[in-house]
Amino acid sequence: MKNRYAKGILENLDPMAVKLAGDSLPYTKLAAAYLEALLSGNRLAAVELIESEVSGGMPIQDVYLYIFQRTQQEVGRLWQVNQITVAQEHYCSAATQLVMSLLYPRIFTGERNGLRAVATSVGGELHEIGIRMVADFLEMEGWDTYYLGANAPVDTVLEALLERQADLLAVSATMTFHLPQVENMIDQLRQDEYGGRIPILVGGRPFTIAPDVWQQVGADGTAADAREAVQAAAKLVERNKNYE
Amino acid sequence: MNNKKGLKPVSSFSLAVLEEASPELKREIEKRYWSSVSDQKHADAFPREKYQAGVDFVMMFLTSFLKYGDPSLMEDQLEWSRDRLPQDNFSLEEIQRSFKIISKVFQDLLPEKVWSELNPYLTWMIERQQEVYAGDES
Repeated sequence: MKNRYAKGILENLDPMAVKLAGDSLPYTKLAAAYLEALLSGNRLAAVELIESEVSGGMPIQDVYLYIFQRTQQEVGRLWQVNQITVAQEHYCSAATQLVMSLLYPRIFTGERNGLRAVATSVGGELHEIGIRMVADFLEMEGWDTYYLGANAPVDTVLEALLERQADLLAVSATMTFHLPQVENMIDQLRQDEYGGRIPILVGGRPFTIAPDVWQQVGADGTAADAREAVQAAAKLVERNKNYE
Repeated sequence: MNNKKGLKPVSSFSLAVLEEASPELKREIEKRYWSSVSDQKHADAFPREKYQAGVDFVMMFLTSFLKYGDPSLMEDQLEWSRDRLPQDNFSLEEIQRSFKIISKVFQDLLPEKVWSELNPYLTWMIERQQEVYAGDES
């Protein structure tokens, strides 16, 4: 039954009920409707809204950047100012990850470009949607990705790099205080022969607010979002090939 | 090279001393904080375990700030604390008081050489905290 759960959300949406950063960005109304569905605990409506738009031709990259990323940021802000509970915040994140998974049959279908990436959040870091988005964007560009999720220990990351013969490692940190762990991870990887020559791309909030920190932790590059990460990854791999 | 707020980089020696002294510093910060709490209502509303977790959190992001030196890292946390902590029954006044206690504990317990390197960061942090809490985010 089409739009059984989402019926009425777009039509009856109170634009003042939710506040999203970047009013001038595309799909603001859809993002607001999606957020309202999540905040009201109606994940089936959220699924329907996205399924309906994607079936209608909305690029999945746009769904990620203009719907998932923006609404996740707003969910974080709402928790910060005590407008929603931790449970609601977790529900919204879990629901968005569910919707992302439902899009996978459309993501994992394109032509492969022969490049392989491992993607992970640094040890101790529990936020994972951002790095998952990066992995999915790379996948949509034809990369084969191996996504380790949150809180991956260094030896696990190295094992994955070797096993997959990866061309790139993408690492995310959301909390400022995880920067030393990123540095430590990179330092340990650099001591390995394989890990020492693989390009490492870092991202996440501390790298966005402090634009030079990626160099201090020893990474090869950074990106502000998943779309930029795809471009940065291609450049880093190309540069690495030229060195070899 | 100094950062954009004129803060000199902290030496790896001082960072290592700070890391090693961290458990003792945290214990002392908690001790001084609770011994100075006169408002029983505040003490009841804000459990000691929560304060302990808060001190752990502050020490971690302070370490990142000292290690990487970019003031934006600290400003982000100050804004976060302004928005979030009062919701958890921890007022802006209590945060400011805690930061001053942290600074004094560092001064009292760390070697002079280390303290002199960290002091400009803590001074900047406390001054910036007052500005951020007063609503100046420039």
